[in-house]
Amino acid sequence: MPPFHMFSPFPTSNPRSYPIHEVSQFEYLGLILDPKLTMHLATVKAIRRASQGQALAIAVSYSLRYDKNSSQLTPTQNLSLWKVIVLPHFLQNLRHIHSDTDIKKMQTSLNLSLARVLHVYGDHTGLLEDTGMPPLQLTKYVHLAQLHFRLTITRPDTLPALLFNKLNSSLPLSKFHTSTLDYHIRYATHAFKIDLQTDPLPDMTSQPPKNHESTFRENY
Amino acid sequence: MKIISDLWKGQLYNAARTHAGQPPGGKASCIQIAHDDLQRLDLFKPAQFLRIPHNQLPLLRLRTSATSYIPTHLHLSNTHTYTPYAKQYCLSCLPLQIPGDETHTLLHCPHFSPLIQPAIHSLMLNHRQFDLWTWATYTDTQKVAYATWIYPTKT
Repeated sequence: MPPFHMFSPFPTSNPRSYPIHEVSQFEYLGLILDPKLTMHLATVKAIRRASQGQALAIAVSYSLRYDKNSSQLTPTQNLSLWKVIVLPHFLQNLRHIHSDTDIKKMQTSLNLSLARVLHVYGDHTGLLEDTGMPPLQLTKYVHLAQLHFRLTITRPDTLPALLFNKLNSSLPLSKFHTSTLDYHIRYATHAFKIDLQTDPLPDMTSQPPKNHESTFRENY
Repeated sequence: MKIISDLWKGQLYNAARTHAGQPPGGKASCIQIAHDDLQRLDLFKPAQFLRIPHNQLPLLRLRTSATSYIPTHLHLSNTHTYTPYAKQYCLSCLPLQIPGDETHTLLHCPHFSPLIQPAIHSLMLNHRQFDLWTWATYTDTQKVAYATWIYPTKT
């Protein structure tokens, strides 16, 4: 039982042992893990990083005001800047955050951040719709559905995939606890009405080849 | 299989729904203005007017209730107290108590609407050029949506 000690291999060393302090949180691959995996700390960290990113985006936008002939960046340019600097912080660990309250906190922070970068302080729903930014809850469903396909079809031979398939394949949704990742994956696939047996992966459906250059020219 | 744009459209339409006889409110008003623009297949792309390099910021502010010249976009009165959406009356039309929403301000207000008549006239010409319905056949909401620049598509 804790506290644990680490003993020195040299008998003459002083002190002989070192206590190992228990940490209440640690960062693993950019995700802050807390003892009960509530992910509140990860949410707070994401919001803090996004806030720093927002300050950077505003500073860059301000510094570019005398670029060429334009007096300030257009909303499209500011939106692109925001998508590159701020948005990844909200999306990076979104699939691991299971509390609705945390998702709402992140959504509020995202709305304010977008409004500040674009200098448009109006209705957030209209702003998200006009700029093509779906709510985080829906984006989370997409990320979870992607994770499901990664674990079951594209990478079925990895250790996480084997565990996922072994433990969860036969259980109905009602048997999962609502805080687990497995529950949310099932819920997301249910929300999208994905038939796990027959529906193809999105990239397996026949789509015309894209000309990325012409798409870029059309949009910008 | 559903796509995320469909789910999002459903949420937006639900948010825009109002009970009979009640004024729409700020959020519903924004969604009603963007109603035709929500028909685009991919909601991940910015709206049409953001792909045209003119007047992006004023239009974005107008469509998201962020202006200072439309009374319903102001949530606080002169005394800094909250005023409900339906009681944000047009100041130019007082003592008549007419809600100063986008429809009234852009289309019906005798003081403000003449200012945007040239833009509306240009829109009417565009509609004729694209062989669309005549301007008079549109509802007020559709007229406001076009005035906030829905790019004319052939129907």
